[in-house]
Amino acid sequence: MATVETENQERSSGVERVVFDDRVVRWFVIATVVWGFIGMAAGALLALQLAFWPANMGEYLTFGRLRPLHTNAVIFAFAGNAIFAAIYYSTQRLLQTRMFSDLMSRLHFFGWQAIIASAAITLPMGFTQTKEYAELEWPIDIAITVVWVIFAVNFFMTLRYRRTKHMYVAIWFYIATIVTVAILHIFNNLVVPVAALKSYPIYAGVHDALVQWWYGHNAVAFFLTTPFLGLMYYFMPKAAERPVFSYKLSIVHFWSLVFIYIWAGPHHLHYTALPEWASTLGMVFSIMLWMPSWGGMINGLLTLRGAWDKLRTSPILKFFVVGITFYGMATFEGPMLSIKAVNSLSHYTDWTIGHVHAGALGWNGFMAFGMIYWLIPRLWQTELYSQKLANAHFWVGTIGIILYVVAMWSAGITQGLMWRAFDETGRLMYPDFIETVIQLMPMYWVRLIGGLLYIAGVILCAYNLIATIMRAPKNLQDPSIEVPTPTWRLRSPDAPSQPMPRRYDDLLSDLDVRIREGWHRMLEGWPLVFTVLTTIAVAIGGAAEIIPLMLVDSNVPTIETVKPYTPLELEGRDIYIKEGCVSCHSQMVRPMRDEIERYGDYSKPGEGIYDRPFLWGSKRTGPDLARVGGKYPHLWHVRHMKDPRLTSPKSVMPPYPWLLEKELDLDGLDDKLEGLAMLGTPYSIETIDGAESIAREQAKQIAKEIQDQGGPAGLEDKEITALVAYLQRLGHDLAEAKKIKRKRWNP
Amino acid sequence: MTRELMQTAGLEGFAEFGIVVFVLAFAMILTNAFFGMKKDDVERMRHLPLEGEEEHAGSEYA
Repeated sequence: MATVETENQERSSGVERVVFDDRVVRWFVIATVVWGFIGMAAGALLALQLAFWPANMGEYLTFGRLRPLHTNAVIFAFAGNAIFAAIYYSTQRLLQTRMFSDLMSRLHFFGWQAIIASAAITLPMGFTQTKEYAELEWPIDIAITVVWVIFAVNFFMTLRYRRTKHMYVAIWFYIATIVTVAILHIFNNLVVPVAALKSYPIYAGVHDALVQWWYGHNAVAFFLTTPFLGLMYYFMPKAAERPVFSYKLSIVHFWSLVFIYIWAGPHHLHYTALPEWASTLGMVFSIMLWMPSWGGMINGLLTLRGAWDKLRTSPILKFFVVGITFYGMATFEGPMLSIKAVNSLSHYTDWTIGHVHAGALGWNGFMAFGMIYWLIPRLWQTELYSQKLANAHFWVGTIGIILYVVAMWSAGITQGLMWRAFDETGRLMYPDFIETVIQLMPMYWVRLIGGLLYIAGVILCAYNLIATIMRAPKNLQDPSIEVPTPTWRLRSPDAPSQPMPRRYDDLLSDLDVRIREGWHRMLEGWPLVFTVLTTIAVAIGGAAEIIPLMLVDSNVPTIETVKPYTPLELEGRDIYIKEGCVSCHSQMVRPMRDEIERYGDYSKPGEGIYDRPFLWGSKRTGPDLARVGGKYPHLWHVRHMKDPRLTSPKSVMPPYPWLLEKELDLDGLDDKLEGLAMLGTPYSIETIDGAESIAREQAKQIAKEIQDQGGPAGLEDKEITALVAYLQRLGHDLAEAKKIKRKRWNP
Repeated sequence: MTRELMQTAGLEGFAEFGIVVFVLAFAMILTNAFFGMKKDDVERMRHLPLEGEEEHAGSEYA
């Protein structure tokens, strides 16, 4: 604000000097590289754990606990800091004004880093909402909201004080990002807190799944795509020293993308208990999404027309061109995977992991690194320490991505085909799930090598950055630019404080001029209306899918026998959530012959009405658990958790011996039941008040049965008992419903 | 009331509504982008990122 006032004082000369705030951009660039390394190192450890289970080291560093740390670190810390660097740098230049408030810029930077640090602490400790990319618990979600609002206010106030009338296409993508991420974050994190770091979502089962994947898919769309497209539209022309190929195409690209993307979320739930109409809608819009995505890719690549020779020498352009190419590949593959027939093979396998990493490492990573190499010399006002190292980074990273992606494609297709293979007698060819996992081990090692190569590239980048900073001038001055005083926005200081009222003729004349410019041209100079229209475009898709699902009862037919979890089962479910079991085990049997043969009856929408959050999962490194209840005796589960190799000799699952040692903490169980009762779960007052004693009673019974089966004594006050209670409940209610029906038909 | 209205509307109606809205908006945008914009304006917008030489952080470091 102070800056704007100072600048206003210079206005009388007709030329204004704008001093850009590059300090915050430097901070975001450094944070991008630091968090990028940490997030990817966590990813490499996870890759090692999948190939070599003993790499799961103790309670806090298991795959289940680290996986959300990896995804949050690379999405919100690495990609997040990269897009903030891009937005703060390019917005100031495109609008020819300093950011509205230096204080807000700093609050945004430090607030965001604090959020990331809190995620790095709470996730390994097991504090998680368990919904993918929305794992952080409610106090951190509130902090994210506050920081995002600070960022949004700073951005929109900068728009207000801009010196260029019309907004360039990059700014549109930033607007879509800011608005949509806010909507997604708020609606997917509506929860009832039951403890300082524990909450339950207001949605359950099918509803929760749809809202989560509306969020999850659009986190990819509006956190990993639109801001990176804005980055592309600004930094690609800069690096190529060529204007964008087609501005008209960018208009079509923008509106098609923001409108279509928001509908595509349900393709993550094909063949699940989600109603067919929602799933089909997600598929249709996903296929439509291919066109705007490729429109954007073509626009980016053709910006280089006439300058392709620069690729030979410029590592920046190499990163951008390969990054955009990976965008094209990933946005072809995405719609393909959303086709139900393809999805039936790919879903729950590593194919999805390969697809995600083609986008994340290729598109997001390479666009971020291209931008960073372009920014480093400008931000630190000295030459890049080594072009050769930057080139080496590019080649090492590219080889790393290819190894990673090819390994995951192979693993995914292999496992998908093995799951559905039948022998000549009509029985499953690989009935033991672990057989389909062992086959993937060579590919898991190749994936690890690919990931390590990519990280080696990040280390080269970090070294190049540090070496450049070391030789940068000591007192870096913020760059400045002289721009003509905008006549269209600010009144002249000589103008009377109370302007003469305008006549209708003048207003109509103004409107006529604007209309002649074209309505889109008018929108480009009208940020508020542009923002409102963008919000409407993204809101339509979400509303048309979510509201009917919530309101139309026939979407979730009631099953009489489905009852709320007992207090002990609920506690066991929370342990399941804490340990991140959902990272490897789905709870969703799809209505396919091989799945029914392997697991049991397919999952029904009515089964999950008390599941807050839903635990359908998205990847099977272990078998589905929706029908595991009653399949094995209690003792089997105890031995399996103590060391999975005791029950499945080739298992790659980490051991959980602490579950047999840790005291079962039931403090606050009544608060949990009360919170769920508030959301509609029919717990009586007696059950809520007596939650702990009811749970202890059930635990005693289960512990006795374990002992009777030859297991150890004294497990009634250990966490394992609650987990066993929960696992034995899975699928039980549907089995009961079937028994009742059988009795009715055969009395 | 809302619930009853939604239930009687039929679920496919929501999808059709979405596609119709998109097609209309897309047609408007396409028409405007390719026939409703002045060439000069488009050219100026294309060049926006390339405008403005900064002091201290010029192209000499690129």
